[in-house]
Amino acid sequence: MPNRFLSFALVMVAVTLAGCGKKTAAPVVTAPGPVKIKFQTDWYPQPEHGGYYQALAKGYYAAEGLDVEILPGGPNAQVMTSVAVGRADLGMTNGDDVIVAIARGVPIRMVGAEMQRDPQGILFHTEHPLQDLRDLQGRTLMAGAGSTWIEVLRKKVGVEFTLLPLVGDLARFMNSKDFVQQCFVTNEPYFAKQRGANVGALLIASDTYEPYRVMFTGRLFLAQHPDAVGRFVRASVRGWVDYLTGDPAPANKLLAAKRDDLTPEFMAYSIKAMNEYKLVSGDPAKGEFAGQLTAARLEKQIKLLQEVGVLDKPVAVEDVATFAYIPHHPGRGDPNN
Amino acid sequence: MKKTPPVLAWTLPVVSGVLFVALWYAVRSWSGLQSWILPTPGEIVEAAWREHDRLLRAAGNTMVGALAGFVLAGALGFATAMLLGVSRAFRAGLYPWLLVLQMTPVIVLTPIIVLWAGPGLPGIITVTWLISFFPIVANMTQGLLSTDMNHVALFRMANASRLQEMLLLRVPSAMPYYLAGLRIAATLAPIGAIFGEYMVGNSAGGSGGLGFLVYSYNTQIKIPALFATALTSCLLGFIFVAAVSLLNWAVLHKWHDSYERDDH
Repeated sequence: MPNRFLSFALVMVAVTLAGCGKKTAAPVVTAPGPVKIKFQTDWYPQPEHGGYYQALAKGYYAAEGLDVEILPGGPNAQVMTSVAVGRADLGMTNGDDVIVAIARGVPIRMVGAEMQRDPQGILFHTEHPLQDLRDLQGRTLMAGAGSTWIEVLRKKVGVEFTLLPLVGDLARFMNSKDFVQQCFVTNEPYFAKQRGANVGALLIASDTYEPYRVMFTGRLFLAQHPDAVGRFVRASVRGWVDYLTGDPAPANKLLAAKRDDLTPEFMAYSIKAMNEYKLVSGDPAKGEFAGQLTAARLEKQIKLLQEVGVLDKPVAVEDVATFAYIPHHPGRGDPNN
Repeated sequence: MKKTPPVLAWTLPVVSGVLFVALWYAVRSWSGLQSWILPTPGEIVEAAWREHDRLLRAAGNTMVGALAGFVLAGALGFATAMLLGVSRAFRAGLYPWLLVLQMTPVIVLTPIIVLWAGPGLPGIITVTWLISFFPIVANMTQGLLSTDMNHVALFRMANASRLQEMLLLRVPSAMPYYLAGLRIAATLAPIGAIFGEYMVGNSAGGSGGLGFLVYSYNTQIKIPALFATALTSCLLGFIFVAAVSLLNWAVLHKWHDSYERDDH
């Protein structure tokens, strides 16, 4: 307990000093042996965290000299603040949220992409399909109030719809064929189909709005362990690629041990969806690859968040992310050349 | 008060229960609702049986959080009430702030609880403690202040010290109040722990607690299992209240008027 308060106090001091524009933290020389890393996920263990568990199960972290502990999340996981106060060393969540937190002064930084596109989608009955986000015009949508994409849809895409607060179950959706609701394209469609509904899911990410899912770390940790951060990103991306294109059994075994309600069928569905929507690999035609973050896309995202009023002041791309640890393009060599 | 004859005491609830279940089946068959909107009691019992492993493990996990929060509330509640009972100044200075704590909806505090106490069990215990602490303090304080003035006068005449008056007179005579507070807290603690799991929990122990199962069954549209979770939570509450009633009996049956004694 005292330890926790001490680290909290230390981070507060560091935050204050960082605010003065001074670089106080130098890389820490650690004793030989693996570097311990606590990685905070944003929800209960699920296939959408599979890459990290794969890296753990197949020893990719160990091969990089890292001793990684994956911390399960849950409601109110507070991923970003947990990393900022040093309870965890790295974390993952939606890229938008990270941008907004950084603009508000939370001392964290993106270090790599987990997914090129966030799996957030809209679940619909195929009897009343959605081809395009514009089809939402006049519909009743159940979604997390205050979600960035809702503002984007209203202000940039220009559609109007009735918004109901998200209560997180499918009962209402199942009961009404023209109802639409927010979902993870990798998750809810499976359970709705299992109950006999004909459903589809439209990914919210589009050319207008392309939020990443990202890995990020605390500024202090990044300054002290730059090397370990690089190795963590590399091993995680390796884990993700292997989880989605190789045999996912090692990660699935770990996930099932953490949560006994994950069936093999559901995990297989989730993996298939991640592949179909190219969430992790991205679109090779656009030059995207697993782990990639680009300054141009982040710039565009920051501008969009400002336009729809989610960000009240600009934030510089270099404050949001560091690109030093992005893995190389699999086909090309060093992306910085 | 006239006592209910023992036969009626158990037949009446059975009759009303049977009527309720019959009404339930009737509503289901007339309305044509599907199982995932209104499961029948039979489907719920079946789901409870099918999921009993998971439910029991979850109930065990919830029990840990509930018990820890409850014991903490019982101990800190007792200590705080002693402070408040000892001096008028403490009472005047602290009681309004206890009220502030009580009035603050725990749901508003959950993000802060996660940040300070930590997610998972520490957060769950904190939520449980916050919810069950106040009734104990309020009851115990009231008890300390409600000592029979004749008894106090007797103690003062015998030149008893303040400490003796507190420990030998006020605390024992406040016991029924304290235990009443504990009984209220006992109904709140399992609710607090499940709420805590729902707000700040994780899937610890492979299945998490009952609060986690609410999420799990809900997203998977396993509604009969969700009802079975409610039933399990209810049982957990009964276990808590029964335990406190037993404690109540152990402490009070020899001397308190609420128990029938041989010397009456």
